[in-house]
Amino acid sequence: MTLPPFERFYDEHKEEIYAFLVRRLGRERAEDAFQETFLRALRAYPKLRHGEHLRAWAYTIASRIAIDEHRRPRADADLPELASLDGRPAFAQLEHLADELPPTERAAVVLRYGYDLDYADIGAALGSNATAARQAASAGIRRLRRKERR
Amino acid sequence: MTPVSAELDRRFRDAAATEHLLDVAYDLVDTPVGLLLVAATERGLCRIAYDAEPEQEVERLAHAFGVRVLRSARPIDPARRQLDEYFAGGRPRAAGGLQPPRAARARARALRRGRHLR
Repeated sequence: MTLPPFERFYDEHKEEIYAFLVRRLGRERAEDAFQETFLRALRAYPKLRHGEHLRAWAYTIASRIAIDEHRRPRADADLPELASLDGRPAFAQLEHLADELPPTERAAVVLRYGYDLDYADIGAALGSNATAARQAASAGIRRLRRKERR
Repeated sequence: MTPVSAELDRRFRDAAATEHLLDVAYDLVDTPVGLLLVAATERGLCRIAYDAEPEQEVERLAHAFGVRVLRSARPIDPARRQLDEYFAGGRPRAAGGLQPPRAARARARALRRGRHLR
């Protein structure tokens, strides 16, 4: 699938990405995060080699930005730090580990365990539903375990 | 679901152009002869299409100039002002460094004389 013009990508995904960011951050902070998400996507866009999984890609960028937003110190909130074993954020550890999984399983595992998205959001990102997202994530985890045992 | 407001949408489209992230920007410009689709790269005006089908035109622009095509009013503003001057009958100034290509200038001259567009 060839990469569509950015206008089409933006037009197709802006509403759901904004809704996702509003759920994660509240309306006020979602606006800045929305702009940052699509500016970041625009910077990386010419490097994409094909037009597959663009929706999951957009959600991945938005999740990363939502996490950065959560980390920013705020006067009115005391947010817990994300669990991290070796100083690297969870998603950074997972992305490498999940590199060899099939694309859907990889997206489901990284979005679930790296970005802490719930299955309904992951289902939306993958163009399926919560049940399919849960199955893809557990299939991915099983595959990772088998790989680890080898 | 809260929709993306027109203001937020415009802010993103402006920022994309201001940060020089676009291969080509375009906008629809209302003129006395109808809606024109006007496109510009950072080097200047690159296309004026009359009676264009925006979706097809966007594909064409992506093919010719790169995939980062976005509708954005700001980069088209200088051309919009020039077109206003064309249609007001004044002499166009080279505003904002945008110089229409020869074909577009010829087309604008023809329009001023009331000839049909081809």
